[in-house]
Amino acid sequence: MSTIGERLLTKFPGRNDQIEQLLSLLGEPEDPAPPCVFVYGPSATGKTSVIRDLFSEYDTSGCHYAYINSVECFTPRLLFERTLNAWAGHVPSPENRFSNYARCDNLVDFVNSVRDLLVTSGKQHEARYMVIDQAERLRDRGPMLLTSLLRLSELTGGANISVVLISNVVWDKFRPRHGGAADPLSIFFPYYTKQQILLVLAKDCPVDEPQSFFLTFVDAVYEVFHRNCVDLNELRHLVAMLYPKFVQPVFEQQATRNEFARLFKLCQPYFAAASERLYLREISTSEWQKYSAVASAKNNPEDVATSIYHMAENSDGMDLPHYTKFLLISAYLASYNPSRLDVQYFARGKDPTQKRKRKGGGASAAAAEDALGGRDRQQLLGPRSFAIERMLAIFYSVIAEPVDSAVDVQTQIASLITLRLLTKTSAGDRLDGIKCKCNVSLEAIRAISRSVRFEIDRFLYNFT
Amino acid sequence: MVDAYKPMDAFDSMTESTFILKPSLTPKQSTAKKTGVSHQPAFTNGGFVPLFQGKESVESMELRRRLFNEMWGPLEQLLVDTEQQVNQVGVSEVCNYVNSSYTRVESVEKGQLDQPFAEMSTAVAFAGVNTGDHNKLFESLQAQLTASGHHVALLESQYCTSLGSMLKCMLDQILGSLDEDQRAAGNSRLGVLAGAKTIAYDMGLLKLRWDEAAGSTSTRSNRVVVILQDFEGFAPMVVDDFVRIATSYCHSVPIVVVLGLATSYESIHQSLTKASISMLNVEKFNLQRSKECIDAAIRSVFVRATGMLSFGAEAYKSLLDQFLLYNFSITGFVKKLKFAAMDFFYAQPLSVLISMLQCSASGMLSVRDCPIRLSPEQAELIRMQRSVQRFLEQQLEETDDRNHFHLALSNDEYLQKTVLPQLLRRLVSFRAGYCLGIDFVVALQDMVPESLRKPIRTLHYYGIGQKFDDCMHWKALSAVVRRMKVPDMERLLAKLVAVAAAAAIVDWDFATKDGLDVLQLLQQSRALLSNPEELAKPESADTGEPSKRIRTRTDMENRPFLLFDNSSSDQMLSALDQCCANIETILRACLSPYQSAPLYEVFYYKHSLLLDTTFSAQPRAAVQAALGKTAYYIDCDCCKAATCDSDDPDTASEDGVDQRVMPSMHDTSIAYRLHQECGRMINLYDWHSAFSSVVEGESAKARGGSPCQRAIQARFMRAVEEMRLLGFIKSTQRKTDHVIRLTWGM
Repeated sequence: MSTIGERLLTKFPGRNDQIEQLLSLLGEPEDPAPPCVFVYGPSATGKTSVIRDLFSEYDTSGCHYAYINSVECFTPRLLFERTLNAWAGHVPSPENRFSNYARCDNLVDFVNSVRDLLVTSGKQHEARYMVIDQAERLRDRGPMLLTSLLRLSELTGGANISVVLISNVVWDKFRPRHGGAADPLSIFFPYYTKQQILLVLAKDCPVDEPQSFFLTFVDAVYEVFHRNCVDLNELRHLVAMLYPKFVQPVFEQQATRNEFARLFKLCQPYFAAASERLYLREISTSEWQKYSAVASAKNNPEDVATSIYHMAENSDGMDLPHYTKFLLISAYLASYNPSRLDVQYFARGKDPTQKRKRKGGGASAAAAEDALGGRDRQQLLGPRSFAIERMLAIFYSVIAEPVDSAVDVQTQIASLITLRLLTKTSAGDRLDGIKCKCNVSLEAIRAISRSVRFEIDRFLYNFT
Repeated sequence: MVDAYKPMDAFDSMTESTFILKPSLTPKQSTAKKTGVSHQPAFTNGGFVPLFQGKESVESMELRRRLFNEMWGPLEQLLVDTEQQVNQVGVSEVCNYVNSSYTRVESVEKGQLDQPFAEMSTAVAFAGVNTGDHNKLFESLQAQLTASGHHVALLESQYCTSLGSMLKCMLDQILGSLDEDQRAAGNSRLGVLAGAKTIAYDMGLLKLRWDEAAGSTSTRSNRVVVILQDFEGFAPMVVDDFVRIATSYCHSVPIVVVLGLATSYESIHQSLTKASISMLNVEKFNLQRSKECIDAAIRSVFVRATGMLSFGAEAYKSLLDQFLLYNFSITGFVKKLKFAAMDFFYAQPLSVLISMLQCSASGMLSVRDCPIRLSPEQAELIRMQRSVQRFLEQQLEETDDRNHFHLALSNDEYLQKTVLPQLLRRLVSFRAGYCLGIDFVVALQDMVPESLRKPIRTLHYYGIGQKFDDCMHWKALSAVVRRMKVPDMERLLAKLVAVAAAAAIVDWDFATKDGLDVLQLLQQSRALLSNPEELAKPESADTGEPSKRIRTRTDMENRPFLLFDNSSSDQMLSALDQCCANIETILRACLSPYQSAPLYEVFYYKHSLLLDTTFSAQPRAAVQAALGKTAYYIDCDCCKAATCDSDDPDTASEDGVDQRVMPSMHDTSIAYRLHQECGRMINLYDWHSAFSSVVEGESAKARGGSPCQRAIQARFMRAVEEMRLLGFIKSTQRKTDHVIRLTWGM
């Protein structure tokens, strides 16, 4: 047993307490297992990896535990049949026509099958484990499922069954309202500390690179990003993406491995321009690996930023038909402008800027607005829903040429809703009095307005 | 009262009445349409009916039918091919990506780390907002991927409303494709699988089957490709879960996901969670370029094709507007084109000439080629065209051959054998010249700044829609040419010569307006440039100016390069001037308006109104016209009486169809007319009084006794309810017994 512990401890630095706790809970195969173990903690703290490795080491035959991902096993039947397959050591294959061990449509079938499998054949003392990852999904699968899983050993008449739930939600959000199950044993996986992160990342160090040099870089990356991002996986991703750029000057003989300050200076443009896009995956791994070679600090440092920018922007595919652009613009205006000002903005023969100045000059208005505009202005609150008729009225007013009210406009509204550029807020079966929201960002609508030479800023109330 | 309901029978469904064609069409077409729609037997000839009030011969009708099929079949194929060709680039890019996915990229950089976690290869394909055309596009993508040995599942959002149905849909397709592979490999165990008790949405099954297939056949290079055709249509949660599941399998089964996006990358950020996005290794592709498709289609259908139906400016604008302003839909474009072609062959008696036009285009027109003897009506129709009259008059002026003129006007045989080939030859040559002109402009555009370049769809619109001297774009291009330096001009001329040499022009004489020999003029300009001293000298000597002319302000504006480079001689400049003038002359001659071509009335389709009313219906306007101008639709006796009676200048409107409110009208129509006189709020009681006075008046006249008040009230309420249903009024809480009027500006 202790050999397992040692192997795991070297593999997962910084998780010593949790691994020891889990090992002590497992004990020997014949020991009575706790009915439920609840493993929780924030994402990327090693919950799933630790548990999976632990069980595969602990139970080499694989017949004593079932690993279930509850996102994948989204129906009870999948969950039950997978579990039974694992416990019975049954593998679907062409010989058995890819069928599962037993058919379980509901809990009763499952309990009966488990009883047949374990109790009747006298194996009820061997501990069986059911590991359920992303267990928070179980809460949506009916009120009884979770409770019954927690009391599985009682239901099966004394089989030694333990359910291990892995989640990033605390138990309070799980606890069945009607009681019915005892609270499980909880094991908390906290965030890694800086030292632990360095230990984990040291394992990522490429074989032909000096580790201390690598760790200096990791240290710097951690110091830059840890305030915004504590997710270990994201840090590893960023390190994997940026480290080649960091050592590039060494290989290009621009700097030596001792000149950290110089290396960081040379790496600076990548940090500044790319980290946000890399984090949001606007530039994906393969795109970065493929194209970043073009942007080398040696060739031209200024080009780095622009080439990174191009990498993210290379194909912004949205091109809308002319009137559809205006429809979207009017939807945006309807969503962000108060309807009481429509007459001022859109009545013909009036200059909107003139009106607005007079409006904004009032003492009460000035008091409500500071330098950044009002605190509860629509720009900050997000789009408001509007009636389609109002949008159409704005549409016919902002468009320069006269448009027939043909069905095409209505078709375009419908297709904007399917494209999710407009969001329907009224009920789906309601055909008249449809209400929508505009689901487009200010930058996008500005780009669209620019392409049709419409000055949207003149028509937006209280925007900065 | 019974009478009042009778006319409604024909339009008892609302949709039927909204798509009624407007009466302003020429009677010819509407007869063809109406008979085609209302009488079932008319469909015996594919809907073709003899024109000229049924006097057209059967052969002629059959010919029209045959010609339509002959023309539309290849044309449709051409359009499909064009679309496929344009899309091919994007499709093969995606295919290459799939082929190379999950193979470790040999990195060019040192110090590369292993990826901390497995990412799933994902291709994001921007397919444009014209979602209607995507089926074809993604099917071709699927076909191409299947051809290269991958297992492909094409998912549409309408069948994937839940995670279960999505996985089932995907597994059905992929396992089916795996089965087929095994069958091809001669695996006998396949029969065992039929009727196996498996769960339809179990991803574990895919892994097992994949491992088994990989064990039996050594096909490790193929991938499992899942195409989500319309990403925006999927429920975000479903895709999110799908991505999580698929990534958990992608270390054992190489799954590649293709996301078809109609809008922008932002929609992925909107619908997927950060956790799933970070599992995707995305590459972006541009799949459909509908504008390029349309450009290619317009080039091949309208500009290049000389033996086909062409579109006049109005109809072309309507065709293009629908595309550019509303939907970018290629399917819609093709539909409209087909409708126009049908209208042409169904309703235009002279469409039989198109076969001669095709022969003429290929340069093989002989007299015997006319497949049919023109009937007197058709011959007369040809003579009636203004362009033909103009052509004959011009011939008379030029040759003074009165006999020819006389025969052309009186002898059908002569018209068909002698005059018609001449007409068609001119028309074909004109089109070839026009095509050359557009080619010249395209070649010229390569040398002008980006902002001045226009796509061919716009060039064609300028070419047919505007006179050469009125069009700003041509002017701008000429201005650029005028500013060109000598080397640029040389390059331009070389290009133009190449274009002109490649053009297949049969008759240079008729290709352009004045029989300009384009090629010779171009060659001449080239020679002038290469040797300006000799060739341009006589001109300057004639004017007697000093050899080094003083540069005027206009000179400087026209040729800014003179400020820096004053070395070019006057001869050179005058040679440049000459070249510019020549190019302008050529363009002007080539791009002359199509109205100058003979028989353009026939071969340039012009019924834009028909296209508009058919494809962009205006339901509201149709309903209002039906209620307010019933005489258009129900041309019965009492309608006539109503229009005749209205000698009162107040009620008779300028178009003469506004009728007096008649008791024989439909109740809703009466209510509609009465409400037009009201203000914003309508008092229901007043409305009812007016209504009953109209209805009672009639009954009193007819039977001498007024109908029951309750019956009138019931009819009134029904009419009001219908008005509400149609959206003309709505109820209000503000004032009792009042409704709000919603119709303004009619």
